[in-house]
Amino acid sequence: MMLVPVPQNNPIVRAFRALYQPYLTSLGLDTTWDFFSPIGWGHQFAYVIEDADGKEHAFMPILEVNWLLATRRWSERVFETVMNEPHLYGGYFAAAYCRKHASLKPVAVTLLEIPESRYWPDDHLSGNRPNDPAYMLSNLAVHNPLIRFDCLQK
Amino acid sequence: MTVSLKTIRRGAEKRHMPALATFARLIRESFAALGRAWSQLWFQSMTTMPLEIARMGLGAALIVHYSMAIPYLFEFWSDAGFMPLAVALQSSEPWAFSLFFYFSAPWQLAVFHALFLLSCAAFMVGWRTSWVKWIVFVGKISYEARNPQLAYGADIVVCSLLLILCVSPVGRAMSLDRVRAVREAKRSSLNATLPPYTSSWAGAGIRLMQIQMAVIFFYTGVSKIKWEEWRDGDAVWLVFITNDYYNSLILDVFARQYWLSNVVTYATILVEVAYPFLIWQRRTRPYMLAAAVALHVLIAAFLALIHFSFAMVMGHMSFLRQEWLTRLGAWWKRKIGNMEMIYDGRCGFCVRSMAWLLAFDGLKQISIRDFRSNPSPIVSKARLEKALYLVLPDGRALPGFEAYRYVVLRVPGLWWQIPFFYVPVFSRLFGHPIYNWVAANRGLLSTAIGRHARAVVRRVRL
Repeated sequence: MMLVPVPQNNPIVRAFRALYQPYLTSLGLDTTWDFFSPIGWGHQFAYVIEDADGKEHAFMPILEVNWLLATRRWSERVFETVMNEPHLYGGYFAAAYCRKHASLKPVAVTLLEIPESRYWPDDHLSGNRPNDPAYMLSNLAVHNPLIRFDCLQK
Repeated sequence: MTVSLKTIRRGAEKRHMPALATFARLIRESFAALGRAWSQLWFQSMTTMPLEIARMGLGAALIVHYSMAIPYLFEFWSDAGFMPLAVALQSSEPWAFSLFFYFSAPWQLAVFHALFLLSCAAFMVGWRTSWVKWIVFVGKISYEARNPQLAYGADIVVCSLLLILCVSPVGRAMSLDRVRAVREAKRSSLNATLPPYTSSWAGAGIRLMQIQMAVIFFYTGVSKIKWEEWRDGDAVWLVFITNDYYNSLILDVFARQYWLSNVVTYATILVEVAYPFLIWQRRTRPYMLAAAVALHVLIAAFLALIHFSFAMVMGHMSFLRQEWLTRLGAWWKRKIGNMEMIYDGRCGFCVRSMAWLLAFDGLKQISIRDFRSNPSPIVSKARLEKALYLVLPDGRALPGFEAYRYVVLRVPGLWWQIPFFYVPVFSRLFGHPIYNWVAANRGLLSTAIGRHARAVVRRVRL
């Protein structure tokens, strides 16, 4: 009945896990110790569309999602999934981005993971704001690509 | 003098017997005390009000949440999306359960989504709650299990609260189920009342939800202390500099007054760690409850975790004391004052309408008078022949549509009708003629209803 974080590596708990795991899993109650304690150490998902002229167009899709809506939280989770397993999920999103930007005549799309930086009040006051969405978008080139997909031409 | 062995034994037995009996009594009493404490903890007879508030809130939250998912339905939960069934099954736990695992065509998902939203609406208003709650729960875990990548803290909290509501007797107050039961009683006599539903199982459900919330807060607080960022007081700053929660305005304030960020960080930990200990005491509960709700309001406002915060607040509602709710109801009743509705007791349609209206009046704010048997000293019979009247404490008498319009705003159970009665211009433009037509034809309507009722009775008898 209760939602209690279950330690993953505790041998005593592990011994009993077989008994309660079906209950936790089937009722969606399985969780870990460190839930609800967000700390700023994240990554952002972005992609670069390469057009027929070799020009690159950078996008950060999370910026298109309203901050207030539930879709924002889903998008964060979806992009995290893509960044964690680009080979498994990247193809779907790459194809979708090729279709979405068809007007650019895309040749390829590169998915990116942008590590966020930690900065402190002094940095902020001096105008250094590396996680500012606008700043991140304008500096996409410095980040390592996750995976590159060719866009299928019709 | 010789003493036989038997006598010695008997003497020893006599000496031991009281000791044994005392010991046995002690054990028995200890167990009885434990049993009483256990019952006191879990099975106090209570009304379901705190659970009903959670039910309505969670139902509303789920409707909003999953309505927003409509444009993404196939992208998130179908084979056409980024998580095909084969991938989902590969990455999910062996015991994961989802109805979606058995869907083979997109229309099935669409139909289920519509059914789920309707069930959430029924759950929120408390219509057929005893089985609708299970559809909502099974639906909720089906969405989570079909695409576990989408689930986050809020979903786990909602699942656990829903499960508690499923095993609790919800829908017995502040619900359409309750309205139906009261209306049924009032059909035989408008003065009939149903006592509020109380049960020890409701008490167990409330206690379970309380413990659940205390456990969540305890582990949330403890897991925060584990992190250096929280211990050093930097966590709130670090949350706001991430792209997900980036808030330039707040960062400007915190950058200039960094101590504020430290205070908010430590206050968050303090509230979460103190909550499981201080929420149980009579004196500290109001403060802890206020602090927890305030924390979630701030999280909703500044981190936009609205769904999560709302679900948590609904869980905290389990700590509302019965006497607070009773006092709130009494205060509201006093503030609004007495309202007397004068109706035509000879008109079957009017009596049925009154039974329907009074069924929504959970606080019993409306008193009634049948002008045929008990004439009103304020409104004349001639006026009452034309329309129903509402007499207010200051002696004013409102006729027909205006009476309903006045009541709808002041009886919480009727608030759902406000949109119909308070649309500027339109409500009065259409409301008056509709009411006047119904009032003028109430004899006909009564006959029709009577005929229909008799037919139903005949059919049932056959």
